[in-house]
Amino acid sequence: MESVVTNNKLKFQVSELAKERIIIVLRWLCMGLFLYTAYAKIVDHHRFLNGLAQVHIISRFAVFISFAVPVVEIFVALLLLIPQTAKVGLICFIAVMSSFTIYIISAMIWEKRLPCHCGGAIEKLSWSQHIWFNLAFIAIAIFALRLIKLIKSF
Amino acid sequence: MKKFKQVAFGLMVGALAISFSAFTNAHNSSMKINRDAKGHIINVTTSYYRIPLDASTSTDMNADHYEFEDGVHSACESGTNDICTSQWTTTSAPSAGQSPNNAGSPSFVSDNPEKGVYNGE
Repeated sequence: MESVVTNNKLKFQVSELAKERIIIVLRWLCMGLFLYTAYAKIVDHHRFLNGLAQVHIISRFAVFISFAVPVVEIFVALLLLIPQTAKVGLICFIAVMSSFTIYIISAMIWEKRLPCHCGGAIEKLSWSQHIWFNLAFIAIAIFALRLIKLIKSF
Repeated sequence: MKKFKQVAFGLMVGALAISFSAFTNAHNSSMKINRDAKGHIINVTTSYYRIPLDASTSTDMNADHYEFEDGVHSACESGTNDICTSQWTTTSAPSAGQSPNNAGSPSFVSDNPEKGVYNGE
């Protein structure tokens, strides 16, 4: 047990304040990503809906998903914004990003052509880049969650 | 107070993210008008719908196969991989129902990424 604690100390030899700041920056990064994409989906909703309707595995629910996704993104962004709900926000962020990634992977397997109306500059990514991008953000959120566990004041 | 500051800064980050999104999502279909120093129009670049009869998955540079429409119901109906809209540069701003030829000296710019077939509205 003692060796585990020692290992943790070796891994994160930064002050509590620095850890807190890192968590804040990572939270804002995740929040910024969701607000960025949610705004694009709302402003160009018709295009987003058209894109979803072209994917056969979800085309039946395209209208519902086209409204639900930006709403969920804004809700998670709000959770990440408020310090008291940051931990829940990060967990929700990981869950949402994981579901997006699973959707991309399954669509890559089942669909011949994939339109990406993910919003903004993210649309420029290829599908494999998109998966790596999502995984990177999931890793960032997991890292932030681990940091939160190490901080007593959180 | 510390948490209040954190929320305030977070809101600023959110506002930056939204404004950056607005910047990168500047509408493809919006009309870009180039003017000279005196304010006269040099050329106009905007999106045209491809007429459904001429829908296909490959680029079509025949200006007669396109139509300008800015109505709120104008859209690309999904279900096909056809190229639905393309950007053209002309010497004047088109009005509804006009082809790039009608707007003068059409020059093809690029296809827009949106797929489907123009609903004709």
